[in-house]
Amino acid sequence: MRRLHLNAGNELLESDILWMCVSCETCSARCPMGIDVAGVMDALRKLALSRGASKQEGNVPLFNKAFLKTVEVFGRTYEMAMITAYKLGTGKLMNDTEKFPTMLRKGKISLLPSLGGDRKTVKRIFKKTKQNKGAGI
Amino acid sequence: MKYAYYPGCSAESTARDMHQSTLAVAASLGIEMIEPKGWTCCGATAGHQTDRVLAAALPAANLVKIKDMGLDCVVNCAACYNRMKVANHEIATESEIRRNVCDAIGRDYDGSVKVRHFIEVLLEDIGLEKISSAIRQPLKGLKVACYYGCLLVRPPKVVNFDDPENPKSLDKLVKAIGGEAIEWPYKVECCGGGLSLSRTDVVVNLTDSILGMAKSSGADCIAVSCPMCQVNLDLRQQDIKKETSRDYQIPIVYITQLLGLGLGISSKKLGFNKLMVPASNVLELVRRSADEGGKVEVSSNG
Repeated sequence: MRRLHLNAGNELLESDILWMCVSCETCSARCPMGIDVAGVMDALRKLALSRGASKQEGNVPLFNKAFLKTVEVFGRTYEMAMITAYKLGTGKLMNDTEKFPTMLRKGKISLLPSLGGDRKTVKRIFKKTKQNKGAGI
Repeated sequence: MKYAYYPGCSAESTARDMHQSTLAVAASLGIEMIEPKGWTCCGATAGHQTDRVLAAALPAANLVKIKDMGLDCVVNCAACYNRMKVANHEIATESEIRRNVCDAIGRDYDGSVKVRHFIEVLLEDIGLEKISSAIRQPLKGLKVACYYGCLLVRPPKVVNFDDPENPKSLDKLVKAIGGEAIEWPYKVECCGGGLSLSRTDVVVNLTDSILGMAKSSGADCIAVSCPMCQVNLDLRQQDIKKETSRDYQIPIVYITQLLGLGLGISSKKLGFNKLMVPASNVLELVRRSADEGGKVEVSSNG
């Protein structure tokens, strides 16, 4: 918030802080001035993405994109595709692979996507949202 | 008692155990849960970090289906619960969001469907008295650290779930099952949530301090109600061991799994076999409780 006051917006948009924030909302819940800091972080992230100013270690935007793409296609999250897309994009192919067989055996991850969702409505939502981008909400 | 039950995507993968135990507990207590046909993803963190209309429209597509069913919406995943409540709040209070959401889902929706967490249903609609009297295998002597995390309690003005700094809902349920809900200071700390894959280092760090605090507070297990908290706290114990050589071995169980055990439901039905850190200490206690004839120990003390 101090950087915003100091008009250090560009420095902020390039900062990893934006993507280290996991939206736990503790700051908003406890701010004595009632500022919705988590809401400000969401707005800054969108601004950083639209200006291409984003530089971050974990590549959260790629994770978000991979997550939402599976929702757009299948109507529900499909973790196998999401994780593969994210890993290919980051090059961190070997991270967590040792856990995979156990998770598969325990049914904690599915090989196939779930197709029971109303995919038509979800596709419509994504289409409309893309059309309205920049509506400034 | 009849509700529209929104399972959420993780019910079909990482949180099958939460889903299974929720349905088993509901059936045992006479709660009817009906899945809305064709339910879809709520958008989770990725949604609200990307676009406000998308983040409200994805939950709204489900809520409008539930409105047609004429029932309250019950959710057990803390993340879905949070997104549904926030979407309702924004649709009801911001006309521009509502207009865009209705356009996106192709239906009119006013944000009026009541969204409840399964814990709220248990405490408010069933009641602790009825739950206590249904307990067949009290988990006497089990020390449980109740962990609420972020999404159940924040933002407090929107979710309005219990006290946001010192919630007691899970603690009350643990006591009703006959266990001991320990006092500890990290009930509403953050586990790192959605950063599990993108910033594993951050999640390892945060979960290490939560697990450490639970251990030093004397917990036998941690009870959660959020699939992301469960996965992070359960799965990352092996990474913490690799990096710090601290080997916690604390089972991370869903509150519905504990409640199910108390109600006399088999551990297999409750998905205990799916936990990465086995809850053998919890199951051993239940076996002993059963050998001693369930309520015997409680009545002999009472």
